[in-house]
Amino acid sequence: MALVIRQDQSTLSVDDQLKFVHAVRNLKGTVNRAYDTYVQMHWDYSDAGHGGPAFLPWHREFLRRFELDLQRVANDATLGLPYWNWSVDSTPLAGIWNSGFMGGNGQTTDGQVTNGPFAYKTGYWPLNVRTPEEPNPYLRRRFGSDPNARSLPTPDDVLGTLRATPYDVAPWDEGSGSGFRNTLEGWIPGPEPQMHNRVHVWVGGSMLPMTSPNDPVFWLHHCFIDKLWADWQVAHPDEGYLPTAGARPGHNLNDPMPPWNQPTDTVRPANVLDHRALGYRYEGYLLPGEELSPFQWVGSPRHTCLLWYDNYGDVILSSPNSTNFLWTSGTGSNFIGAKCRMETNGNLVSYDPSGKVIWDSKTAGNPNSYLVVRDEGYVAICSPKASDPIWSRPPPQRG
Amino acid sequence: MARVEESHKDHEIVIEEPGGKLELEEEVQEPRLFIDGRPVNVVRRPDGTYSSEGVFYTSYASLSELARASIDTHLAED
Repeated sequence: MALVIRQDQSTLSVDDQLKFVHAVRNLKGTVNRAYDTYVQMHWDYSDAGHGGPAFLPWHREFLRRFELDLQRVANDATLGLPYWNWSVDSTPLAGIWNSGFMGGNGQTTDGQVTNGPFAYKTGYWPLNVRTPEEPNPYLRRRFGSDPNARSLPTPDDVLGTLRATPYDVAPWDEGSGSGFRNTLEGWIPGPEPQMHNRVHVWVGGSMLPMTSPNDPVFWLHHCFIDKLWADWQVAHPDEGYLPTAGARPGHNLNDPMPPWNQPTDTVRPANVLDHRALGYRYEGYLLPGEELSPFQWVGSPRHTCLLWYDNYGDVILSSPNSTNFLWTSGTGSNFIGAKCRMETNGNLVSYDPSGKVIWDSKTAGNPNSYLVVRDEGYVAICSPKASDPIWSRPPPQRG
Repeated sequence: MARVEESHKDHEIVIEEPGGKLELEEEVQEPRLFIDGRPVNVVRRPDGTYSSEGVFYTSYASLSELARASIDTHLAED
């Protein structure tokens, strides 16, 4: 099964933006109101999906089901959710808010979004599922207007969150004072909401209630949250999900997570820890055991550089902004490449069809290491055991 | 039961604190919040702060602050 690729929304072509928008609007317009079912589910099962360890696995399952529904209405099994890296695209002028994609901020009077494909006046986007506190049927946003969230989390906030361990700590709820999950969810006590919560509050309007999936940017926000969990799992392979017991029902490793606690439809946190097993991956990595065939590539998250594997067995780092390669493995054109594999021992290896090694990074002996392609213009092999990459090309500039 | 009434941006806030009896002898265990006569479903966080169905991703130290935030978010026009 080919894995669906989830990519940074800033790298979507206009056609891909339109494809996503049309799929979302079509799901809203289905006879059984499939889109609104997701809004209702997020409201009805808010306790199952928030304020506890299952925050991340619950939303992983929620997003994957939504993605599969989008694929069905679009008749496109390759359609993947895009993610919004709000630490970089962090202003009201960022491309995500253009009128061909998510639409922009709400008007100053009542917060109503009046441009883009989800404006009420288009007729495609009435808010049918609303809490009693929300009287208005139209999509609303108020970027940065809440005094508790004038700005979005920064790249340093993201890096700090990815360093947090373990996965979670007692009392396994909003009161957990440390750990990755609550740092990312954003309930760590402080003067302001943080990370995930802060983004909801910064967008404001329809992103504030339990019915927040009414705003389609919900999916792009949570896709980035899911990516950060995936990034954290790669960086901390020895840190598993916690707890196995002691949290409230639905939040322990092997508890069924409502509403997926039916005999014929049971999903537990343990079932969704490996996102690739669910059928999708995020750009930027070649993980242990993954491989490239000739002409396949791994893009950096924002596509500022690409790592290619060519049919001669050469590994090439290139940039769309440059006619020269940033780096090649230099094997020339004397070989036939069959696959380039990130071995589980930490070695990146190019093989010919007979299995003979054409080139390797000479980094064996570093289990669980992975290859990462960076927007800064380099490729690196990182070990969870080391703070610095164990290998990078081009070599880092000194001084 | 203590009953607190206040106004924010032309909207009426009523807070019923626990500890007493309502007219129908129903004991009030949790504080209750009404905005313009409509009940607000309050979420009590483990640290004692309050959120609601309509203001879910941040919490407030008091029901009055929560009510004002809910009005600012969903009802008030600038």
